[in-house]
Amino acid sequence: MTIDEELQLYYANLPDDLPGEQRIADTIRSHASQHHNARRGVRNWWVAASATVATVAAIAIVAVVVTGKDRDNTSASGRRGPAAVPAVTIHLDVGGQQFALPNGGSRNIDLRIGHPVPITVAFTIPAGDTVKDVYLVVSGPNDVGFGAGPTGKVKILKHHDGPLAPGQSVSVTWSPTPVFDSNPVTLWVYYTFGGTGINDPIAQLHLSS
Amino acid sequence: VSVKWGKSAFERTLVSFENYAEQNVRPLLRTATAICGDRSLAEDLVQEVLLRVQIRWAKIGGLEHRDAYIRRMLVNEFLSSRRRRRSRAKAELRASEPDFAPDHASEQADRAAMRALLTGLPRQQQVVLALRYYAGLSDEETAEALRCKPGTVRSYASRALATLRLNAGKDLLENEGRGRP
Repeated sequence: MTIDEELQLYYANLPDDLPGEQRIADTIRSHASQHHNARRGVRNWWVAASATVATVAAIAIVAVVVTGKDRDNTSASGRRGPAAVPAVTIHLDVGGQQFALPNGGSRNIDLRIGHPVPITVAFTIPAGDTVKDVYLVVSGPNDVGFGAGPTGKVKILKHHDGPLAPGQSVSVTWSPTPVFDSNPVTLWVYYTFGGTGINDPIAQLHLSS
Repeated sequence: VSVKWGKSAFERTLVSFENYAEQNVRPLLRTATAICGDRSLAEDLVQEVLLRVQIRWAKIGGLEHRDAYIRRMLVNEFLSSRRRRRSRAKAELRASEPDFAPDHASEQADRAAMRALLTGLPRQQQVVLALRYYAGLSDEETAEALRCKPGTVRSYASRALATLRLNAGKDLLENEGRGRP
């Protein structure tokens, strides 16, 4: 018998009983069910995602429309709410150390007790606006308030009453000393801008002898 | 979205696949057994292939040469999985040696010997012989399943037959040697 014939005989007599056939069929059937559920899950996910996107889009459209109306009203009346306070940059000079503080902000500054130091505050504001009624104040960490002006455990270093001319600054020379036994000392600037009183802690003054 | 993932369309696909699997699991299993020479491994191959086919049935089910495509998947599965399954397959091959009746002892021994010779061949050569002698495919069809040229298929076949002749001769000599007093 040639090798060709042997191969033909071998392959022709492959066993007919294939016990794995049923096992495979069961596995496929089981997987089909899982696959179907997974596809259904994907389909449900798509439905849920579509609904979410549609809801968010609707909310966004409503918000844009409402905001647009509100913005139009504000512009027409010239009214300015709390969120509409324009950017004011405070320029601070403490003994030659200069800082620009856009929209507030605070710096840590070391000072020596009893050594007088010049403190200057200036403002950069939009053209046509005015800063007025400026206070330079030092305080401890507690019992500080601002109403028509600074109140509580504060020490007023300087008060400029009335509007500040463009380019005008507020200056004072202070001999550092603990304020109400507090060290460090907070340096505040209080001013009125656009009809609103604004108080900013602009520096923490760390005093040493 | 509802059209793309429509329930009715999916269920039509599912039913169609189930029909296909039901009608083809046996021939696939026999082909896989012919290729790899081991029932357990053949079952694993067919199951894995059918599960893959099921996932992609929406595409595969509509192919013009669907059977050839699935046969190629089966061959690829065998070629890629053979290495990692080699040790297990050998163990199962030994374990799955069928019990045979004494009057069929010689026939079964011949089959076992041939199976051992075939499983000793390189995997591409095993595929070529199975598709040629069992499935009756032409060299061109076998080349398509193996993703190679028909000339390569003929080369595989030639080498496989040469190896079988050589090893069969050795086995014959060894058996004759053992049979001597």
